[in-house]
Amino acid sequence: MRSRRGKPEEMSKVRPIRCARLLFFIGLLSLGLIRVVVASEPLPMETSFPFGLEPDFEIPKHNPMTAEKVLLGKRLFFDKNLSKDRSISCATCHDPAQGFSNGEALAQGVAGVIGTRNVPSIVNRLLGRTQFWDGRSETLEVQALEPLFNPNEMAMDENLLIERLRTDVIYLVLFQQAFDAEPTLDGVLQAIATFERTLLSGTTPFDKYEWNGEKMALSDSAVRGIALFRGKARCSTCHIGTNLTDEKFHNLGAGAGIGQDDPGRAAVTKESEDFGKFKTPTLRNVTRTAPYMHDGSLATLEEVIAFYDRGGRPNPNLDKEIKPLQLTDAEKADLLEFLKSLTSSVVSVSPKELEELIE
Amino acid sequence: MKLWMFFVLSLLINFTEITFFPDVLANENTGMIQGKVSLSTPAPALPQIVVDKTIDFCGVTLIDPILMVQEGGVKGAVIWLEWQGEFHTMAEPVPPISLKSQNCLFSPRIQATRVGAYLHLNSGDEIAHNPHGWWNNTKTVFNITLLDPSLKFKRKLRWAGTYRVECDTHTWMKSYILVFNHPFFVVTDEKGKFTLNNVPVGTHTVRVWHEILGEQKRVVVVNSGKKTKQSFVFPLVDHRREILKPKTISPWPPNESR
Repeated sequence: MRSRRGKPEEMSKVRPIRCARLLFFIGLLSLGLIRVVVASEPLPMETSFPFGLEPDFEIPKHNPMTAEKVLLGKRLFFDKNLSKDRSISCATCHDPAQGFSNGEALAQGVAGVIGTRNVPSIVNRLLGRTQFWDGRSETLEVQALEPLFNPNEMAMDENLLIERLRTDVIYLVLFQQAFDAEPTLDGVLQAIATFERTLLSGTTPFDKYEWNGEKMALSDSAVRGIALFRGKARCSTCHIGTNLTDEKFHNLGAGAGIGQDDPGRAAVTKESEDFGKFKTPTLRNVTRTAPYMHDGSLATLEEVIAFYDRGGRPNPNLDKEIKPLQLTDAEKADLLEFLKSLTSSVVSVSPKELEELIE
Repeated sequence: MKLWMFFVLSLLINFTEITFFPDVLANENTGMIQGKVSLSTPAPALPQIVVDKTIDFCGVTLIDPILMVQEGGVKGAVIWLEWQGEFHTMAEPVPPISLKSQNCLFSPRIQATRVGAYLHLNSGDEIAHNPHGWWNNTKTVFNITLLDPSLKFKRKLRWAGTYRVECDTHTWMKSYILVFNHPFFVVTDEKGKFTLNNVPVGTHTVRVWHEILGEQKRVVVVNSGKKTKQSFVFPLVDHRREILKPKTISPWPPNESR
C-alpha cells in the first residue's frame, strides 16, 4: 500500500491506459452486437453504387468515408435522444418509410411545432451541391447542425447533446471506433453527413430502360412520358442529369400570393431577383415523397402536373421557362407513368466503394 | 505468382509485342487512300432550329449544322477501313478528344477516335447543358450535368460503335463520335477532303458515313508507298433513322427538293 501511495504520479499514468484497454476490449466485444443492433434498421446496408447514377461527387477531405462513421451516423440518425425532449430523431422527418420525407405538408419539430417548409428527401444528396430548399448550406455537415439546434425542430443544445452521448456506452464505443475520441459535436455532424452520403437510389425501371437497353422495363406510356419530359412538358429544363435536378434555384410561383410569401433563395443571397426561388428537387422516388413543392401545397403528382400545365402561379419573379404547356389528358397520364418509373429502394452504399469512385 | 515469374512473364509480353506483332503504322508496307466526299447536287440552305428553351441565352432560332458543304465537299463524313479482329497497337496512349457545349450547340459535331479514348466534356455557356451519350442507339453510356463553364468531366469510350450525344435540355443539340478498334479512320475536312495514312498494303473495303447522307462502301487496293484515290458522291437524301427532335424541326430537306 505504502509503495503505491508513494507513487501517485505513476498511478495516474497507468490508469488512462487501463481505461483505454478496458474500453477497447468492451468495444471489441460489443461492436459485433452494436453492428447487429444498428444495422437492423429497415435499410439495406453496404450495397453497391446504384445503376443509373453518374458517380460525379465530392467528399470533403476533412471527413473521408469510413464504415465506422457510417455505423455511428446511422445510429445518430435514428436516435430520438438527439432532440431535447427525446420525442423526435432525424428519421422522424426523414422517414425511410416515407421516401425519407415525413408525408406531411410541412416539417414538424419538438412539441408539435410546425415548420414553414416541406421536408426534402435526403436521398442522393451525395450528388448535390447545396443543402436545404434555399441552398443555405454547402455541405451535409453544416446542414446537420441546423435542425439539431433549431428551437422549432430538435431544439437541442450542445452541452446536453454531448452529455447524453458521453453517458451512453454504445456511443462511447462507436465514437472511439469512428474517431478514436469521445463524442464531440463535430463528430456527430461528420458521422451523420457520412451516413447520409451513403443513401442512394437508382436502379429503377427507367435506369434499366436507358442504361441497359431493357425495352420491356417500361410501359409504352412511360416511354412516351420520357419524350414529353424532355420535350413538350419542358421538365428537363431543370430536372436534368441522372439525379434529375440542376441543383439550381427557380421561381415557379408555388405558394405565391398566399399568406406571407417565402423569400426562398433571396434569404441567402439578399438579391431581389432570387425572391421565391427554391432548389430543384430530385425526382427519384418522387412517388413516395408527397405532398410536393417547397410548401407541400400540392398533394399529388397529378396536381403537380396540372400546376405546371397551367404555367405555375403568376408572380413578378416567375421563371421565364415556366409557361403553359397545353398537355392533353393522355400526355399528363404518360408523364405520370414516367415519374412512377423513377421509384426504387434506397440503399446505403459501401463507403469504401464511394471513396474508390472518386477519381 | 512468385515475383520472378511475374518479371519473366512481363518481359515475354513486352518482347512478344515488339517482335511478333509489329505496329503496322511503322511498317514500310503501307500506302495511302486519299479522296473527297461530295454532294451530287448543290447544297440546300440549312434547316432552322426554333428554340423552345432558354431563348434569352440561345436566341430565338439557330442554324442546325447537319450538312456542311464547301466547294461541293461534305465536312464531317467519317471514312474507315473494315478491319477484321482486334488491332494490336504499341503501348502508346489513345489521345483524348473533347466535346464542348457552345452557343447551344455541340462542338465539334462529328468526331472519330479509338476504343479507350477519354472524352472530355465541358461548356462555354452560362446555362445548364446535359450531354447524354448513347451507344449504338441502344444504351446510355453517360449523362452529364454541365451547369456552367467551370465544370469539366471525362468519360472513357469503352466500346467500338457510334456514340450519339444529345442535350436532354436542348434536344436539338447533337453530336456523333465514331469509335473504332483500329486506327484506320479519318473525318473529312471543311471541303470534304480526307487522307487515310499508313494503310496496310492489300485489298480493303472502305466505308464512309455521314449523319444525314447515310453510308457507302468501296473496295480499294493499296500498294506500297502509293497513293490510292477514292472519292464518294452522295445524293441529297436524309437517311436519319431516329425520330427527329424536337418536333418543330421538319424532316430535312423538304420532300420537294429531294
